[in-house]
Amino acid sequence: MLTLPLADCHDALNPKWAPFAGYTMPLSYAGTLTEHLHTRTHASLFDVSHMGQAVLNGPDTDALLRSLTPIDPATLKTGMMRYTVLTNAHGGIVDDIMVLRREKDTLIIVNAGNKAKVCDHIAKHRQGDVTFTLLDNTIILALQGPQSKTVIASLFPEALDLSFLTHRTILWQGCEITLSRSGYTGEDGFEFYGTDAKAARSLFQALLNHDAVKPAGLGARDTLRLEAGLSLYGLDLSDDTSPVEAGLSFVIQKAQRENPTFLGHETIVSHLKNGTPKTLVPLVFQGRQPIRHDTPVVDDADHVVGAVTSGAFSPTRGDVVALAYITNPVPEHLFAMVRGQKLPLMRTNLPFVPHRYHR
Amino acid sequence: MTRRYTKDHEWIESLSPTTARVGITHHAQDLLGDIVFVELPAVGKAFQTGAEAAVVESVKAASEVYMPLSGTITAINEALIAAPDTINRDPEGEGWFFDITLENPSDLDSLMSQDQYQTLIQG
Repeated sequence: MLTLPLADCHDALNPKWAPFAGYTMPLSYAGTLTEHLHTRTHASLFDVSHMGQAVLNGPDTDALLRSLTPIDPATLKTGMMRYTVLTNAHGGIVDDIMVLRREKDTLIIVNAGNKAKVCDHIAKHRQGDVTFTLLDNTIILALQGPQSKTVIASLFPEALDLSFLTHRTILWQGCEITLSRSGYTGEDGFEFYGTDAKAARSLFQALLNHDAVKPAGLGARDTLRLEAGLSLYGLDLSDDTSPVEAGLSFVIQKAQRENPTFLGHETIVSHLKNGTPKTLVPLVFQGRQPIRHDTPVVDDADHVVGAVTSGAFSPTRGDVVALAYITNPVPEHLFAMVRGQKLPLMRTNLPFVPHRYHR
Repeated sequence: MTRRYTKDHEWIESLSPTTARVGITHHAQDLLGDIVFVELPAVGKAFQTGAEAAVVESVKAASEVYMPLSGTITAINEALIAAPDTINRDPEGEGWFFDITLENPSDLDSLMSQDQYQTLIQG
């Protein structure tokens, strides 16, 4: 099991720990529900350093992006960032990633569980004058919640002009840190991408010292991202689901629809034009009984038509929300089978809880 | 009043020579985390020792509550349905699950004492 570079900082806060993607991660501090609601009303600090930071460098960076993601690199100017996917040859998702265009290079944030797979994939497909380097022992801290901006105002006033999905470089104790206005909770928030554990340690403490900020763990991160309708690789996304099936058609940019160059575009463009075999459907159960990953979904006649990929009691809404892959055409009435009970599901639109990004 | 414990983290306390109250331990609620849902058995239903009598769901996971001893349900704590967080707050008091009549009241002595249970969870 790998440990986070700031594990000692967490130890002092006495969290519950849980294994995730090969890392021992803080699961919760004050309790998942408390941390979830605190994030929606105040601000929470998440250590998501398990995720990988990789750097693309060289004149053929854009060619690589164009060939392996549905990004139009011409639209990604310095200081901007974009959520996208690495696609495989049959149109599935190798990983969902964040791409940050910096002055000297392009930073890619990859999921912890996909680091090795992404490195192999890029090594296999890389062409021309571009390097891809996965950095070791990097730190990512996410400050999320409506009061994040007051915390940033006190520490980094120069970063307050950032809007959602933009970033800039800041200096903390002489170390360069990339600071973005982004996150995975649906709230306004900021993320810090650093490479120096010592500087990150003091930054972690400085952020926590603010009255509005409390630490939050992976449990709250999962319920927050689900309420925000954001996918989790390994549950909602896989090598065998296309971005169109996963409800991520927005990642396929205009230039890539008109003149597609990315790997697997044949399948994905066909999915856009002709529909998909299955669709990730947002569902609500108006009760409290959680509907979890792998729960079968049936129609009126009890035929299994799909399965839940993510599901949880929604602390903000007070009912239960889920994402499920359903075979097309999606039947009008859907039910979750939980311990022999047939729970009625209602179709809804994402997000389950409105986003409050600073645009 | 005798309170006994199981290895599955239930407690059972005698209410009279033939009846007892059942719940989950403080340790169990701490392992589960925030509890959001509870499914209780029907009054009048009989269960054998070790049978699945109730379900408790936390933010993290679903978990079964097993019958500590054979018996028949005589009452359930319906307040838990609207306020399952009571189990986190007061698992060994207000957060009780159900009352039973014991098939063999003397079996209570076969379960763990508080000291034995403390040894189990600390080991």
